[in-house]
Amino acid sequence: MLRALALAALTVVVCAAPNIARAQGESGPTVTKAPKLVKFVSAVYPKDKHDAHITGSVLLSIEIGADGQVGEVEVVKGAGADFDTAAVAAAKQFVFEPAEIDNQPAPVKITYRYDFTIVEQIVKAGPQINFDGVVVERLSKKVIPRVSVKISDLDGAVATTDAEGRFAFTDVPPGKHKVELSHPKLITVITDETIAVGKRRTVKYMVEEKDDDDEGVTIVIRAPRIKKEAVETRIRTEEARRVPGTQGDTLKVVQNLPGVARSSFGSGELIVWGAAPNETKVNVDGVEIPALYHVGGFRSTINSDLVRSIDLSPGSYGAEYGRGLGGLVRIDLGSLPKEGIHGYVAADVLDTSALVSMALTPRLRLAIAGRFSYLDRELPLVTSEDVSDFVPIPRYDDYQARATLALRQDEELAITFLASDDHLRRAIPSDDPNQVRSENTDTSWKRLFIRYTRLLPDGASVVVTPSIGYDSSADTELFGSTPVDLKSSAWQYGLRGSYRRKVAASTTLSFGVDMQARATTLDRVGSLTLPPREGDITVFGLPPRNDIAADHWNVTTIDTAPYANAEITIGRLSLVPGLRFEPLLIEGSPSLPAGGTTPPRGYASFSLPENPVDQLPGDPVSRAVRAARIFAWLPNPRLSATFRANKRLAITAGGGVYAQPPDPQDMSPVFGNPNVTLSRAVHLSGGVGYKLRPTLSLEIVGFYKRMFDLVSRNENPSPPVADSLTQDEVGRAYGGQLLLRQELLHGFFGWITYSLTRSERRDHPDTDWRLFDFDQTQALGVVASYQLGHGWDLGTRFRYTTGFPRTPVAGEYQDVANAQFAPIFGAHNSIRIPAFYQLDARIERSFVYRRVKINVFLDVQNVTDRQNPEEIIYSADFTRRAYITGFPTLAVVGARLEF
Amino acid sequence: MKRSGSKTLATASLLITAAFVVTGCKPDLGAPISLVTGPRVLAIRGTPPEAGESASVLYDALTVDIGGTVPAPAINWAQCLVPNPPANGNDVSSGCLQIPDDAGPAPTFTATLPANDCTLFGPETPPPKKGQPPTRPADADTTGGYYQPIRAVWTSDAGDQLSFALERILCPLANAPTDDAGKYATDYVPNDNPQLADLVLDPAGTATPLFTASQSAPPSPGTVAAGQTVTLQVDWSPASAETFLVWDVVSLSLVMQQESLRLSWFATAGQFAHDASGRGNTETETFTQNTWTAPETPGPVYLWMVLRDNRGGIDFGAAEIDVTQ
Repeated sequence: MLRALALAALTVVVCAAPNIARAQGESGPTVTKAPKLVKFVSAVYPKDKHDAHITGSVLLSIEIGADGQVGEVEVVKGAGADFDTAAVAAAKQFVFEPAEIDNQPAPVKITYRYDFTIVEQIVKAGPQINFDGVVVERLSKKVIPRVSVKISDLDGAVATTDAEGRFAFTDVPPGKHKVELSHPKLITVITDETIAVGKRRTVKYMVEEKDDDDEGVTIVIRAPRIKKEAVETRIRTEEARRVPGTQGDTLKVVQNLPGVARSSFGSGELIVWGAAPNETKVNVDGVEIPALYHVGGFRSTINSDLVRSIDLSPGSYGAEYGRGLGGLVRIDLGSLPKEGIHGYVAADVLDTSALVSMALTPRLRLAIAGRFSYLDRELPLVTSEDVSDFVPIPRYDDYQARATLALRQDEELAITFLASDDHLRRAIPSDDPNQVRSENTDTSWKRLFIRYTRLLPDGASVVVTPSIGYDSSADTELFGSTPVDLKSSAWQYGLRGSYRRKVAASTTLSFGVDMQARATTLDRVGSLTLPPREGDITVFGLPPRNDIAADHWNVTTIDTAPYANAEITIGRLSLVPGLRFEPLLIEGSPSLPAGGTTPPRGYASFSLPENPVDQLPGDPVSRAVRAARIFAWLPNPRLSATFRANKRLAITAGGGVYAQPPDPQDMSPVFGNPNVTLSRAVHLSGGVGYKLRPTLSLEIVGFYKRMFDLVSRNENPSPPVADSLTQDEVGRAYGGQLLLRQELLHGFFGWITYSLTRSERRDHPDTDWRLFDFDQTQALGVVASYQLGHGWDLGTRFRYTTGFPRTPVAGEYQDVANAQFAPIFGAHNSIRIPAFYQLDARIERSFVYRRVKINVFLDVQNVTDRQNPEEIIYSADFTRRAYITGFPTLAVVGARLEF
Repeated sequence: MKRSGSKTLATASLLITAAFVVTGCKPDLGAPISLVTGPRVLAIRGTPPEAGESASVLYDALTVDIGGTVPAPAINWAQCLVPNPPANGNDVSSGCLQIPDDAGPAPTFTATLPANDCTLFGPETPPPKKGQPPTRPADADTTGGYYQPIRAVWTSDAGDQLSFALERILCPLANAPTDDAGKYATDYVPNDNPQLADLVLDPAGTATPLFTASQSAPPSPGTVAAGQTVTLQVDWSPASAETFLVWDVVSLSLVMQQESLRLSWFATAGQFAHDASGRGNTETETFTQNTWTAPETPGPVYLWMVLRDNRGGIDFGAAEIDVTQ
């Protein structure tokens, strides 16, 4: 444990007062006694410097009167205003024995160096203590005071940790004892300790806090996600908030993490390890939500101040979660303040948000939050009208309410309501009936869930989360006379329950069930080719085909997934095997297109999860994993392993089989195929984590994924009825990622991420492999932030990414029926949008006014004004190619008032 | 106090908006489609524009160059019999790019629509093979129409000009209740080509006719000063915007609909305000206007108008303007 001590050193005692100098020069009076410090006052160590482990020395000039009292104090050589001020204030309270000149007390001036240093406090063991230690929180590494440490078999001998998290027992009899650690905020832990004769046992307990802590957001990347830490990186709330481009939105930092591709401009989608955006699932307290970000990606849909932690698993995650072939974003909501009324109000050019939380009673706490945007109304004031032709700006809002009730000790009920809305409006009138364009998109979702948590006396835990939600979306577009209308509404019911218990010193088991039912109703009018699907060969702005169809259909899916996990530690090796059984019941209507004399008929299907491991190809890349076919009889096995070679080096490996239910939008008998069912994937990953220094770490992870039974368009010129989509597409993605990260040190933090990936799809067995529409070969990110002092922070971010693949136009013909040209396409996804690179900067000033903390920031995106190509666009006759570019320079000014 | 508060708010708002530095994202895409810079096929007209299976149709084309209308183009013609896959983003199958010629080179083409055209491109499906599901019928457009692609390759001085036209096929209403199918069979009126009436320069002023359909000889060229912006008005016959029965795929019922008319403007120089203009299917006016800015260089400028209804009917005409100093 470190404790800060300000050590002062009287390093130089030189009689430097002018009269003394003169006396020396004249060989007259001489210093017969140097002043002696008899009262030392410690300077107040500036908290931010102390927290950042920043040290300094201030050289002072001190006037000492004939009575030994300190007169003027001046800074000769400073170490920063806060250090200087503190040193001067302390020095003015010093008292000296006066100096003497010619044996008479006399005023003098001295120079004095005040050193601000941080040293480790060494708590010396007393001879009677033979069992002591410290309790720290496992993730934050913060010490925890007031933890009750009980030796159960010694008539309940109890010690309580002090403010520094330390405890001590004296004269504990030699032998094996059961030690129990408990605290209202902790998961109760029971462990065994052996006290040897004549030896002192000093331990460090790392315990896990329950959800009712208030430590703020942590961002955890795990690749693969393995409990028992291993290769994981945490980004603290304050770091996340300071990253340029996030505009203070902590959850947006996910976009800067390794393995995450930069999404298309204005989409806000999460593209992780070569997976489609809809294959990466986002869960809040175990409840699935449709999107982490609002449309456009300008802001997250959850208020950051309600979030305790966010965990991004790019793949190979455990058995607790499923229904997705890509990554997993898991958000845990935090506890609410224990007392008083707290909150914040923040505003910038994008939106305004606010949060208020209060403790209604000592056991009941409440928080409400909201946000609404206005960028869509501001932007037309400063941009040309035609910008919105290409870059429509969404309008969004979100609001949350959360109440927590402590029922008994270690038992809590939390009720949470989340809601998010997005609206997009665009209308381009024209004198040409065929050129009239309009687009109205509305998306909203709501979730209400209750989370019951109970920590049992034996250390086991129970979590039950029933939930209900409603999603709706409406996309109405008009291209000339051709309408495109897609409306969807869905009720979602969920129940997640888990029981976790340590069954042996090295083994913890957890069991659970993850049930989700969705009843979706859809209406669609328009061409089959709009909205476009991944893999469609098209160009930006191509009008839809003239043909239209219509359908109204219902799909209900019920997915009940029991799962089990074991956490096993064998020496330096940690293993987490898991199993998830994920059968799917689908009920829908109709099975065939409506109309004519055909009455609508429903259908139902029941799918058992099939393990695709035995379908892995025999190419060299996967040959190493063919041994995994022995697991082919298991439904959805998951496994992660961590080997800690030493304190610095950890080696991880992980893998699993994943399944994803079909998208109800694909199950129209007119536009899709009601018979589509589960898609499946196999993930494999491995990595190395190495701590170069205590705060400097390097992490390298490689991965390989194979996807089966993906849904794609039926390319048959005359497909069977209700078979416009087929399910014979396969995919593969592989690559690696690197993270070099400097945690906060001397006011600086930053990281470098680099991802090298390749993602491909084969639409049908008889077609060639092609690049995935979201393939992004390289993604480089550099983030750095530095505390300048006096509340100023400066940050910068640089990003480089490969452009997405596109299909080139190789020729054109005149479509004289529609008075336009039509493209003739070249090889599928054989060109790319040019690379994207951008430099962002952020400067922030924080200060406290009375009880209000104020942050003002300027977040400038694309400071070099680079014209980054975001999409390829062609001239009307397809003979010229140009690029739609993103925002040249966007400066976001914002302020946040926190109380 | 109120005024002060408003001023503060306005100042803050100004500062916020001033924080943006946005110059615009729209790229330059070159000349508009209305500018004729070389040989082009501007229209292919089928007569009649809608015909049943096995019916005979005559096709002619409006072919132009910077020197004016090309009167007798050497065009190789073909009917494409390749159905368009539902997944294809274009209105014509890519398989139609590779078909052999049926006729030509000739300025016109007379073709007989295939006897199974409504099965190839329309709502009818062939009997399913044993053990196989029936095939998916093609979707109609918003006017209830199905179309037979006609391919034309004009071998011009600048090379081959590949074009596709669509001939509307008269097909029965499939997959509808018997009563509706019967009513459709008796009451549906096949499409006729719309008819241009005239083109007038400066209709609110001198009203100089540049094209008149009823006169066999073209009027004298109009005169416009270089750089001058003028208004042009095209009129069409009142019968051009026909009404017709259409099967509404949303309400699953027969509804009456009026044709919309769209006029595409073309010129060898100068610039139109709009490449096309027209009237929607709820408007009753029989004219459309556009403005045209003459080029800075004096000389003759050739203009063309192509009038289309939304059931595939076409008419076209040409005019000439002398741009003076």
